[in-house]
Amino acid sequence: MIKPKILVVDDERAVAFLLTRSLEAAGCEVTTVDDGLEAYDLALAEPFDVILIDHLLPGLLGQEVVQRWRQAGLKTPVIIVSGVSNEEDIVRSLESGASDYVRKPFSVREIIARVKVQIRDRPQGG
Amino acid sequence: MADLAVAVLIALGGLVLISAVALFLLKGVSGARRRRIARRRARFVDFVGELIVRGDPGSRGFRRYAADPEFRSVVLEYMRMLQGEDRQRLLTAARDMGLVDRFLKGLKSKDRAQRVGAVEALGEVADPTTVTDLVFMLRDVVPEIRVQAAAALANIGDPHSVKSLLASMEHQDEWNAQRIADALFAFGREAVPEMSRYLQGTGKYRPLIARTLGLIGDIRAEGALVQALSSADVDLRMRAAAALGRAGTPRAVPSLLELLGDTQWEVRAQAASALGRRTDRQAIPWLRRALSDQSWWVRHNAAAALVEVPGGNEALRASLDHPDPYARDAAAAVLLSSGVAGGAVDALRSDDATDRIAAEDLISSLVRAGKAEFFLVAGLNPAYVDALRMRA
Repeated sequence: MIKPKILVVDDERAVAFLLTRSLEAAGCEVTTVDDGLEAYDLALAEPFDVILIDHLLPGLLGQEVVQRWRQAGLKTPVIIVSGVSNEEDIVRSLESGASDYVRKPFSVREIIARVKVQIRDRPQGG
Repeated sequence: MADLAVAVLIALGGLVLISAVALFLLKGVSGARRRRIARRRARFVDFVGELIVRGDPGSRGFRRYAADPEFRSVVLEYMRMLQGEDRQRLLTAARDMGLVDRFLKGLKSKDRAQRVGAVEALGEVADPTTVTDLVFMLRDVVPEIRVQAAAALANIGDPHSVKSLLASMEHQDEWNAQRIADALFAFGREAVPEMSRYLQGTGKYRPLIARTLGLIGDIRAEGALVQALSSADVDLRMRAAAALGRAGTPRAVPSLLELLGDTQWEVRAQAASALGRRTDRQAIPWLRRALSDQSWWVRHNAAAALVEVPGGNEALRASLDHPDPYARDAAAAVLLSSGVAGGAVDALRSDDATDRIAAEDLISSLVRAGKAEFFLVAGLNPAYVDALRMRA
């Protein structure tokens, strides 16, 4: 069975480690990067089933990266993981093209469930 | 003489060289230390992360790291990140590793910074078994620690600690009492019964608690807040009135109406605002009367409240012909600032003749009340505005 490919973008080592190991334990193949620009290039170069991206990345906000991906035609579902949880930010993130938004503190089980939903519902040919 | 100058120059050069070498070595040592700490931290991130993913109860093996501040900081970082079962599992692991005991021990330290650190850490760990120890810290000699302990108790959220928090307020200055009130607010609804009881007592900070109850907005506080309206304390009456605006039900309206006759203008002004929030039609005639109050604030708040109450706009428009010029001015000012007058300008272009006539009537009344400038700025023809002024 082909493992779903997930890209985790987070500059906080603890978050990145926990998400990576939890997704691996759930049967996913995970690639991790800690920089928005690198993530931008990587997602356009390699196919991923779902992308999990931190909101506050150094240099480039998660929602800005998502916006650029969408402008470039990338249809991969993106979940923004963020410690900022005000309504305006969530709305802006979703409007930028994100498929979902998870607030910190989070439950690992919930994140995995949300990733699975995105894999199940993802548009074909993205 | 020349020899001496050369010798001084050589000595100075040597000194500069030695300083440069020392600086270079120091930088190297500090860089190496930073790298060592970063490596150790990265290792702990992996250890603890693995523990969370595996859900492994074998965390006692980590006891040897409990003394390491980097390890404690990593555990706390994961604590902040997680909720639900994962967090609960990590909390159990933190107990097994002896971390919670270590923080509790820190509470007893003679060193102020250690106590602060321990209270902060316990706030992040939010272990319900530490409530008693944190309640004890509400009596610490250092105000910052007392406030941190209150915040930690709010994080844990055990309603049994609310009574202790309220009792501890009595010995605080106003700034600290406000911080403790913030902690009580964080408890939310759970704190309401105990806070309502406090309000019925003789506590020093009842006005602050009345305000906090209003912010929480739970109607269970209504009885205590209504009772507080008859207190001799002006500040308490004022805060209770404001709180009833947020947390009251229609049952609070008669008491608020009565408060419009209070001897203190601050209380009357708050009562008027609260009636606006309650949006009860029976307040309309009372608020209209309050437009003639001797205090500008009461008149303004009464007019603003009328905008909020269904049917209040009509009363406000009618008040433009009030015999009292102060009442007319309050009504006109609020009709302008609330957007009603701007809406009338737009309605002049309506296809519906009835809307156009109603808009002209309102603008005419406002112009006669001395607010022509508003409509000129809004772009109405000066001759048209002048004609409206003359209209009966």
